[in-house]
Amino acid sequence: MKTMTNGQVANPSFWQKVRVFVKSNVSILLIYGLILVVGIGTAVLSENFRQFSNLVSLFRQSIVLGLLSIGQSMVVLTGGMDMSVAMTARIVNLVVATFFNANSIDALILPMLLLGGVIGAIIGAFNGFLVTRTHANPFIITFGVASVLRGIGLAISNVPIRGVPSGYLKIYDAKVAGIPVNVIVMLLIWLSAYIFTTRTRPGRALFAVGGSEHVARFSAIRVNKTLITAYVISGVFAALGGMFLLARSGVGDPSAAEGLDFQSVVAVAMGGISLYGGKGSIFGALGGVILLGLLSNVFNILQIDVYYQQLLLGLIVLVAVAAYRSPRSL
Amino acid sequence: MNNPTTPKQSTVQKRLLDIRITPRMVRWVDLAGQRAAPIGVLIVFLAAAFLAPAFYKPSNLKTISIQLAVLGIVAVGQTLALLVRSIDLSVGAVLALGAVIVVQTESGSSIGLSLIQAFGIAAIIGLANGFLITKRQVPPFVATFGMMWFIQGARLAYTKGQASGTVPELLRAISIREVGFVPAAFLVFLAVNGIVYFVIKYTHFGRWIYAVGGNPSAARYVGIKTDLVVILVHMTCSILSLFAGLVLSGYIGYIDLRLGTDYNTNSIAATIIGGTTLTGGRGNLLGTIAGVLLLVSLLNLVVVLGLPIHWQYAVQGVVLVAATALQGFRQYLLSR
Amino acid sequence: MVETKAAVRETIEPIIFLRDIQKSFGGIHALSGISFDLLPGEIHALVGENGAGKSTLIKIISGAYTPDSGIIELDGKQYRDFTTNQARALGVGIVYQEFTLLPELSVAENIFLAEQPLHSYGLIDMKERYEKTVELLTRLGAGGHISPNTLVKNLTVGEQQLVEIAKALATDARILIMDEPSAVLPSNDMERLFNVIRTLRAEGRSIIYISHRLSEIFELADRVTVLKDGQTMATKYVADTYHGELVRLMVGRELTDMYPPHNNTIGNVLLEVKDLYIEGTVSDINFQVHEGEVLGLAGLGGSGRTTVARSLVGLAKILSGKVLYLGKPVPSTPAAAAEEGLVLIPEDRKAYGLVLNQSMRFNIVLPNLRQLSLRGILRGNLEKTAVHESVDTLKIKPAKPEITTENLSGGNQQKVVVAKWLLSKPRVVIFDEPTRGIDVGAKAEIYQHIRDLTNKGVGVVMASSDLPELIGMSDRILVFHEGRIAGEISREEVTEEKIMQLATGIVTSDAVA
Repeated sequence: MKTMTNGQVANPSFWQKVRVFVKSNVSILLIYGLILVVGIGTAVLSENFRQFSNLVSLFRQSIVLGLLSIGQSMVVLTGGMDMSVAMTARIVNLVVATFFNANSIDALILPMLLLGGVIGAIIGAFNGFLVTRTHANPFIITFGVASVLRGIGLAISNVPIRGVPSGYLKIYDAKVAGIPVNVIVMLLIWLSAYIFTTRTRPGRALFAVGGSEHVARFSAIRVNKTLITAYVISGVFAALGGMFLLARSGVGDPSAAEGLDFQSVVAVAMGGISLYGGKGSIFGALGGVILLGLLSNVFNILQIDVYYQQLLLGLIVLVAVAAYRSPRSL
Repeated sequence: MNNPTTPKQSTVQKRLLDIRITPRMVRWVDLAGQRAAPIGVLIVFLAAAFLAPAFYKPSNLKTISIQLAVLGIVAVGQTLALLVRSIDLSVGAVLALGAVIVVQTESGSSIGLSLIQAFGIAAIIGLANGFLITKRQVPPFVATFGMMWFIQGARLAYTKGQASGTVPELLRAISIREVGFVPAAFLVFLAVNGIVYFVIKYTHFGRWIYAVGGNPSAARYVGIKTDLVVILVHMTCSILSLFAGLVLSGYIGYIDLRLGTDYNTNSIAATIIGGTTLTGGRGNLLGTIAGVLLLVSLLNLVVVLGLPIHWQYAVQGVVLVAATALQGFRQYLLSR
Repeated sequence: MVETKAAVRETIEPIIFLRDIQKSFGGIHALSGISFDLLPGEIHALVGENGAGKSTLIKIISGAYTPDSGIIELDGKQYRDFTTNQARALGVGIVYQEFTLLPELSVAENIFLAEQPLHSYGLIDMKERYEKTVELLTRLGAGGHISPNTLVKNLTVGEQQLVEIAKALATDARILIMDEPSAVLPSNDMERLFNVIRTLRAEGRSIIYISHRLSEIFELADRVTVLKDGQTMATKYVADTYHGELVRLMVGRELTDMYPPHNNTIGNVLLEVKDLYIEGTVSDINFQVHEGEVLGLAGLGGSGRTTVARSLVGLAKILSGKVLYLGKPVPSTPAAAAEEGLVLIPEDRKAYGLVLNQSMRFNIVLPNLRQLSLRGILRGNLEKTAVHESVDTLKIKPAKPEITTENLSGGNQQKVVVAKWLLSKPRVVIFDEPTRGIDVGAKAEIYQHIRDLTNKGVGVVMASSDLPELIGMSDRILVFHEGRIAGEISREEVTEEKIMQLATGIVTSDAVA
């Protein structure tokens, strides 16, 4: 028997279920739809694209942006933004490279990985502290922190730093049955992030704080702790990104991760995570990252003029975000 | 019905910060926030007098004034955007675009036509930004950032990576040529500020901007077309950024493809430092001018002192963090 | 269905006991010596006019406010500083009028937000959360209607309220405070709500129930406490009292000389309303507004009084009927109506009234830009004169136009709102709660100004929940009840009791004595 309320009709029909599903997941469907369209279109047009090695390469190239975007997702869910992720990645990249430069041995690898993580965590904690104590706008304040980090990065080095031990490079190269280990690890990380944000209390607290700090506090959620956690996670993942870049290029790069801060926000926003906080899915963010990586890959495969690539990228981003209307918030 | 008065919640008050919040503290923080930029400028100029007298050499002062002019013009546009609760991350790209267009077309057609084209394109960009933000509810951050990519891509495609052409005399005239001992750019900057100031204070549009940013629903109730205001503001912002690009090319004397990257950050920083808030409806041109002056002179001082470039970024960052923290805290205190 | 507890009246220990509670906010006394007690397993109603202190009292019980002095005793233990966490731990649950739900999260998640059930390995046990939610909702009679996985934003208001109650029950609240739950509910949901409340009582819980609708009190409550001006007037068993007595306890007070003498020249019809039927079940509305008169609109929350006022300038959707202003159909937006001389001054200062971070001058000038400009440019001298005139006429203090409006007192803020709309010299002014949250002095000044308006031939409509104000100012009063006009009372015959009787539906207009 149907009721007149909007809550839920008892025994809805199949098509009604489909409608509800579509309405509540518009952005994710859009992003993955775009991915399918672009992917299949290119697969049809180009044999090179269809190669297994290319697809693998595509995923591997998306790892850095993916790592940064996971952290960014956490922060954006709380209604903030972390513009220091790129510079954090760079600093960790340079610091670790510097240590390797002094002592290029395999035994240092594990300690360095830990050190990188710790540096990321400290930067994240600092961001979190600033945001919670001063109630300043997260976007601007992390921007400022990024600027300082950029200066520190330049102080560390403005030329590439050599000396990465061969064992470390395995992080990028290692393969299992032809698939890079890091791609598998990355998928596991995404899965963990998904579980964290949907099935754990601290993860759900992100949504509560992003939805309404006031309501969250009223429901006995530790708002400050949640915010700081989000920024620390972001810092740690940024650090991981920086260290992965080091494994990829083999040298400490003073221009590492340039522009990835903005890119991570765009990926996250395209994937349906609302920049106002409290709403969205990690799965969507993954879609945003894949789409950006896919476009890059497609442009190269189709040998689109390098000068047109950025233009098309911008255009697609604009179209993707303009395509669905969210309720007016003003 | 609820209690008619708006009470403070005494139990919550204690737990918020470990610091006790006193009325005196609120007063001090408020004052500091309002006066941060001018005081900063004073500090910089005093420091320069003691640490780096070369700062005051006429040639250096002229450089500062031109840099002030370029960033200042962009910052005016950014201020307007922030006032209506928006933001414009495409200013840097538009700035670079302008110079390219004029130089490239100048060789083929008249300067007048090129200028019209350039400003026309800027207007369209602003219109597109405004449209995305108001009619498609795209967050301003994402809309203008995507636009930035698009513009940069378009510029690359158009120039095919090659920068060429000489800067037309007209652009040099409004920029590096001197009137008395003051570079034209500075006068242009003053003129722009004067015009915008007049608009803000004496025209209906100016009032609408503050109303839309301060309380959109109240603005709508009074009959203001809020969407139109936001769109016009973005168009103005883009046009101003383009103009700044023209002035910049006039100064540099050639086209540099790396133009514009820092202007996003710095225009936002300068505006925030000058007291404009990100939440809309609060801010003024004088504050922005002070903020721009602070940033430009501080960066210049770093260079004059012979400090390596990474100090520039560090300084920029620290000033931004300090200013934002102060403004944020001040707003928070005032709202309780 | 009122249980008599006569035999056990003296022997049961109250769960909560408040004595001599005082609470002030910035010099204004919200509570001056309240006593209150709550027995286990009872429905205890709390009634009183706006500003009587009901909200403050329940916020103290729930730990949101700390009393300035007085004793709070729970289960026999005394507390001086009572926090929300303590209150929750001791079993106090509160359902506010403004819901504390997160619209983007599901029903189940909202209910268990404070403590989501976990598996042994640390992840949220979705199944248990789902099942517990179903159980709670079923107890509240909504098991089949509301699915735990629905997002709260997709529920009706009535359903959201049930979720709020479920949320309080999830913490096994022994004491449930409900702040005007029926104000937002359509009538068919109310019966369901009452059954829920009775079920809770049967489980041994206690409910504090705030409502304006006396009929509900008599249907639902065991005892009732009447507050007035921050004091407890009486606590009675519902069986031992009657409607009229409650009304008398709530409103009986001396009327002061706040209200200027009436104007006796009433002129032509300015505004005419015929057979109006507005969205939200307001129907059959007919009235006229004349030059020089003050027409009062009375009625409880949800009675339609505010909706009708708002519909006159297009803020509420008119489904059928006519509104004629000066003989022509009324314009459809507030701004357009204002240009014609028909102005609505809305209730919500914050949302629709002022741009708070701007100066007095900015706000007063904002709706009147055209009037104060020459060829598109605002003239400083015109602005100045207009603003000074407004500040003088309305006696806005401090008389400094550059002051930011958020630094003004509530009363002066309201004066700025009035000033800005009156600058254009309207012919009909509709006030919605003109003096809400304003001190007595400012109130008197606003009343004087309204009187000045009518002396100049302006027609005034005043929708208000403040009875003395309506009685003091109006030439006629229309009383609304459940979406219709229950009756019209003339100035000569009006008393507070008569208004309340019509407003609470106890009598129809014929029977008003």
